[in-house]
Amino acid sequence: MASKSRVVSRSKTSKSLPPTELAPPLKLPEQAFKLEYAPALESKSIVSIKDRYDLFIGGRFISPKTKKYFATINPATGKKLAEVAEAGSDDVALAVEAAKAAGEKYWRTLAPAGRGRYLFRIARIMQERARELAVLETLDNGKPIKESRDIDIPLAAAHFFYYAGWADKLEYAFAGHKMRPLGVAGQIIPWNFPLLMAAWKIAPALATGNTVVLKPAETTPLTALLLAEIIQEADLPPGVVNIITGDGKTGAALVEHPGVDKIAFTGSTEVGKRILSSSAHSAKKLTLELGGKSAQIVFEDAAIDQAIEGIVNGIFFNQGHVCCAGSRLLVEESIADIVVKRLKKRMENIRLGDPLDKNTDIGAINSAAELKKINKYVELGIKEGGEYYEPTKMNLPTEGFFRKPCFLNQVSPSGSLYREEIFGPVLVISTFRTPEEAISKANDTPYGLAAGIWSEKVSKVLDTARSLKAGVVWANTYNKFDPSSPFGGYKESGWGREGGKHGLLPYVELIKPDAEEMKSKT
Amino acid sequence: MSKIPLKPLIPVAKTIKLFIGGEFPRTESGRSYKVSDLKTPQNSIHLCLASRKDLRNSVEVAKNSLKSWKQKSAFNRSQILYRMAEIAEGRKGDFLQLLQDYFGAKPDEAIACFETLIEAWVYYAGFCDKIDQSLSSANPVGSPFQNTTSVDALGVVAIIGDEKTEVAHLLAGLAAVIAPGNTAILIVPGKLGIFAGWLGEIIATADVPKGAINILSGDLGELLPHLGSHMEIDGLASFVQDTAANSSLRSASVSNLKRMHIFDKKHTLGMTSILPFLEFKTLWVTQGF
Amino acid sequence: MYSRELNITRPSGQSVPIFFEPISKAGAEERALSFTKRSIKSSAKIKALYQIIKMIDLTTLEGSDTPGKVKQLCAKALNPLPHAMQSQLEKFSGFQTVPPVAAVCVYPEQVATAVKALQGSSVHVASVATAFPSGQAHLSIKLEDTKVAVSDGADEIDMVINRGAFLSGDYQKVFDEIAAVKEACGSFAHLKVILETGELGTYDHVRLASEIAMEAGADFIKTSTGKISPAATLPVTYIMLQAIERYYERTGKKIGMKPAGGIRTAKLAISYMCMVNETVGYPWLSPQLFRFGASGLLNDVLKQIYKQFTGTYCYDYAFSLE
Repeated sequence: MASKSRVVSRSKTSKSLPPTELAPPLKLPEQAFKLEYAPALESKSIVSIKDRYDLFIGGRFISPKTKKYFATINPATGKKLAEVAEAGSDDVALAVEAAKAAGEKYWRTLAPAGRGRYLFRIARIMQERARELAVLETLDNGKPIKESRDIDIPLAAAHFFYYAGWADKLEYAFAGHKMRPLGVAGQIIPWNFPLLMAAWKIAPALATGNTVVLKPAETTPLTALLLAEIIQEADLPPGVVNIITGDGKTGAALVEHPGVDKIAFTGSTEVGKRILSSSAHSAKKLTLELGGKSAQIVFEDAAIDQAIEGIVNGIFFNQGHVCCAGSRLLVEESIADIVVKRLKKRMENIRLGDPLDKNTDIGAINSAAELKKINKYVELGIKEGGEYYEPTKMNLPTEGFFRKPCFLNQVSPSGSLYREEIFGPVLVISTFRTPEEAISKANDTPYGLAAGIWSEKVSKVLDTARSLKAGVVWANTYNKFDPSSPFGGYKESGWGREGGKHGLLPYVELIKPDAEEMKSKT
Repeated sequence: MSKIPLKPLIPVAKTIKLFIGGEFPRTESGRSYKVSDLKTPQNSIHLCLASRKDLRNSVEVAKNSLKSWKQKSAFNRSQILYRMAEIAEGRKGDFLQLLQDYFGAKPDEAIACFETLIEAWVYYAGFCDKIDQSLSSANPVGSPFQNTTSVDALGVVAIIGDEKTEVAHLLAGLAAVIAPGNTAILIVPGKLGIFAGWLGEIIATADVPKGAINILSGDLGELLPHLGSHMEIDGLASFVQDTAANSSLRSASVSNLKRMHIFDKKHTLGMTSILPFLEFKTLWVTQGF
Repeated sequence: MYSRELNITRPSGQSVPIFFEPISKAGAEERALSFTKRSIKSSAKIKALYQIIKMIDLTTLEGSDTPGKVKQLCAKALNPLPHAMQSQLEKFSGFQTVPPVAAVCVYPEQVATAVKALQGSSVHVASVATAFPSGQAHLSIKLEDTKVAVSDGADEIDMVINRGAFLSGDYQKVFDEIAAVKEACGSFAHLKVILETGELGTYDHVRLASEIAMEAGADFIKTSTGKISPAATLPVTYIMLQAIERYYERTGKKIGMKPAGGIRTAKLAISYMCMVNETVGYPWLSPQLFRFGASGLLNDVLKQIYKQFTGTYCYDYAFSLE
């Protein structure tokens, strides 16, 4: 009955095609639609870049005693953005003195809640000027606007907001201990997360009552200088934060200045060791956030598709310029083929291009020098027998410093790329057979910054996490950051933690609860 | 049955050796140095002059025993530290005697020193299972993540005194170092070396896993550079008051970025003595079904 | 779930391989929501908007549906843009006539009306069936429900799975019912299998139900009836697209995807398209393999098309309600 009336009804429709077995054809023309991603550029007009930037010392912008300036360029075009002052040792001395004076005159005489008020104010202005900061960060650093807009800038503001609240609650942080600030903190930050690292450094230092001399990286000074303007706008007492620009020599002068009580450095392990050497004779307190060669362990009981996302995010986030990048992929041998196959497919969908395009997933490598270094490593990896893969359909822009994301498969644990930090979008892949082997391979490095674990089995996740020698362990996720979450490494990845209540420790001397007082109470 | 009386009584002098991996070996170098008994010079003794190789052996056993010491429950570590204090009480006389004979301490000074030591050991015995609770945190990063920071042992820590270090403070430092699960190499140079035997016997009978605490007597100047440069030593607890020695130690420790903490002249009890020998591990776990 | 043998067999006795992988919720949602960050602008946006219309199953599934209402809906399905606006937009260069939607989706009772109204057009008539929306009826009734809709001329059947059976672990029953309905559709109707993901509780269940539906003969898998909240979401669609991708890898068969319910804006629809484009790939961006089950979406898409050409937004009442 059904089929009879069916025939009648179908005859009414003119465009229908003759039915096939069990899957009737649709009347609609079978044409796939090629979805286009037209350029969606974030406007540059929101930010006005000056021709020349001076040093921010004692609450004012002043020209350097060296009378020298250097250029900072947009890595996406290779073109100059602005000139920035080069601070010499005299300028460093001036900044340290300003910080010291500000500490004595203003900052330490202020009620702790007052320090908090200023930090809250800075956080709020950063939020208000977020888009401006994001565009400037992308221009100076080369990172995708998607990341500066959604990650760097909001997190930087959140960091100030978080530590603002600690200022008048310090005695709650560590079991009744009071805290004493150290004095002048000399802070040297890298180019991979310029504003975020400035926030990581400045916020806890100020909350605990220290004053600051901050030196941003020479290739990415602009957002720190815009932060200086924001600090002015927030009416922070002059000299509490000083921002001086320059290269390694400026940094060295800051490290060696006798008026600096505390050095906080984020950067390469090599430079970190140099700083430690040069300050070995002094009583300066030191914190270091250094390099890494973090492992991502993918077990066979992982949610593989999410693991693939985590792998991609782990190594290609911020062009791989991330100290905690998941640069060593350890896959259980039983699923290695599947993981590699899906990873390849996933990489085809990565969009590399103009960092200001909202659809860009991977932006520009920060400098010509970094690009050269990364390419050299890739060549070495291929020479040492790694199986190289890069997306097939991806095109590189004609100008600026760009590099396709890639991986090298079958890299042996003795390979250079397996052991050395590349700091670029280069993943090495190796396999393991048992959890114990995975753990020992993950720990087989002088570094100990981070690790990723992918398994849906809770007991396996927890046991692996416990055994890994890494300061940050992400289970079924990667590259997540939060102001309340301590970050920092084991072993040669550094000293100390940033973020959370543990992030207060590097900037204070803990005062023990008075033993006598406690005795009398009991 | 007739006995031949030994008269006058010939005492059996104790040989003090190193303590490595739960055993009492002589130094592999065969070297020794003399420490004088201040009252009765004829009782002066020879101590082992530990070599670089003895240090290396100690580091190796200390590293291997990390697993057994660290993975004991904190409560269990507490009990073992308390046991050390109990055994020490039973050997109080020997301790007082050593202080009086070799350091010229007056009886009440020696007793005060012993009291300091016992106070510290009992204090840290009760701290092992409070460290994580005092210093860990649940971090409010929000959904869909569970985020906690917990305490982890640093690893192998060398504890270094010099001849001016008061033994009670040095041994209090030892307790602070091992409480969170670190294993230790205790350097007792010069005269301090006479405590190697007393301490080693306590450790050997207190259920401390073999290799978790190792003791080397010898020459500080000789051992310092190796302590700094050894890549498997993760931390340095210095009771040395000599600034130059400390900065050379710090320079030598750059190679693997050892954590180094210089204790005040008077070691006092507290969390601040444990903090330098910890790592913090932050774990992010996703939630959701 | 993972420790249990699924042991599903076909009537022939042949065992059905069911592959599933665990889903990690946080990662899946993070990835799915990342597609809302994609920005499709200008000419690319106009093309995408037209494509959305071509992939809409314009739906009315109310107890109050009448032949009159269904006729109005069909008129809109054929000519989504009101005549007045059509003549206004024709003045702009590059403007093309807005195409009809893919299908009209109604209750079986309304199928005959829709078939008549859409006669001779390219617009399909989809009918919900199998005791929609609960699916709580005997199989014989579900099959009769299907057959009647088909005989009235529906060439697409949107069936609901038996969630009661699924949640009680009777996967064989779920499979058998789908297979039986598929057979009832015969060579006359496409089968869309509604998982009603809002009732399945976990993403793992969504994945498993997708696998069972595809193995049992679904031509499309569909998220929701629209009667349960949440209906379609980006993450649940993402999970189902992953299942489709894996099934395609194993069998070479392309199964279609239909998120339904809750997609009311063109912006969100474009996010879905980006997701399809970057997961299963652009071949799925065709009415053959992708549908939006929606009613309100069409008006928002028209509004956006108007905006793209004229630069201004028009009144909501410029568009017909149906």
